[in-house]
Amino acid sequence: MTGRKTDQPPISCTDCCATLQEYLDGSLAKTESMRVFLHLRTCTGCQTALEQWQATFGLLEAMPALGPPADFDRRILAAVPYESYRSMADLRQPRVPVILAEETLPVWVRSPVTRLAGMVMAAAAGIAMGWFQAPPNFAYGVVVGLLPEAVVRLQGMLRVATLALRRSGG
Amino acid sequence: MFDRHQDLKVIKRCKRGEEAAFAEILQRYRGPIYSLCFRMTRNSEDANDLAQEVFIKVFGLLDRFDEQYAFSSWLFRIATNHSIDHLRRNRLRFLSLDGVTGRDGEEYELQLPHKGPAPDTMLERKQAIQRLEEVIAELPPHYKAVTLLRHDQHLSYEEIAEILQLPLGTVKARIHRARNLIQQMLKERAYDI
Ligand SMILES: [Zn+2]
Repeated sequence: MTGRKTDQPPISCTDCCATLQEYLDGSLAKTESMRVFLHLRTCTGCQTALEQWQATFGLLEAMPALGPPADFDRRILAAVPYESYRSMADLRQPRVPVILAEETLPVWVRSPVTRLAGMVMAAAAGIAMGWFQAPPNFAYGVVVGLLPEAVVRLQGMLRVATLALRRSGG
Repeated sequence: MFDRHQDLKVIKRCKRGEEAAFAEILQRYRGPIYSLCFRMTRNSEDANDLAQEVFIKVFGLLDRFDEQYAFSSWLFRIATNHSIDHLRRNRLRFLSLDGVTGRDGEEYELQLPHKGPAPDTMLERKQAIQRLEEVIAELPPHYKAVTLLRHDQHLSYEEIAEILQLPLGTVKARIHRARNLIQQMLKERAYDI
């Protein structure tokens, strides 16, 4: 501390008085604050000024809290456009590109009946090939049969991934 | 001073149209905003109208609120600007106000803490605070605003800079100047008694 005393030139009364506010509200840099502190120890004139500022700050901090009248909220809450916020909330949901929207696939492709029938067909074609030496073009049957289920699942996975990405991005 | 992240959560609920969320924001901010409007205007009726208008405006504009900023800063900015505009519109009325009571003649109650100085010094203290309130009321609107944000709302210089969208240095200089004016006026009044 005493080292700092010699590092810094002493502060003048004018400069000291001009920084008393900042000295009191703690916004003065440490070295500057130290210079003011050291000056105040020896200067009664500036000490008096400090006391005046302390009194003013004391008053400023003593301003009482005020509150609004009891029915303050009513007019405000009556004016809030709740309905428009509710309807906008749906629009604000993160969206996916059209290609990933469930409705983009025709109903007959994504219906459970089609998907189940396709899988049954694929299984039947596979069994025919494996056990009954059916001709190789039965492989098309396997592929076509699995297609509806595969398309629906792939689209679902991409949709979930896109939504997660958009939500995390804000 | 105000919890930014907590506010943001409630604002998101407001944007979904949840009525309770708006009530929560009011619960948190009605006191500070009313207090700011009252001390800017020194009139309880005007303060009530102004503060209500501020909330109505803010609640209607939530979609335009930029979530990068603190909600409290946005709210205080609208309240400060609204009060300053009001003072400008009513400059004549503002200049003719009498000190101790509001313009509507209604004396407002100072809520002093129960524990404190002895009765006679308490009365002196009460009078001193009243003199301070009068002095603040006479400050030019921009000085009044920074003083209230700093000493009534207890906001930091940085928060005030964000609210008023001014450089930190300007805010510090303005608060410094405002307090100089306050002290000077308080001294003049002390001699008058
Ligand atoms: Zn000195």
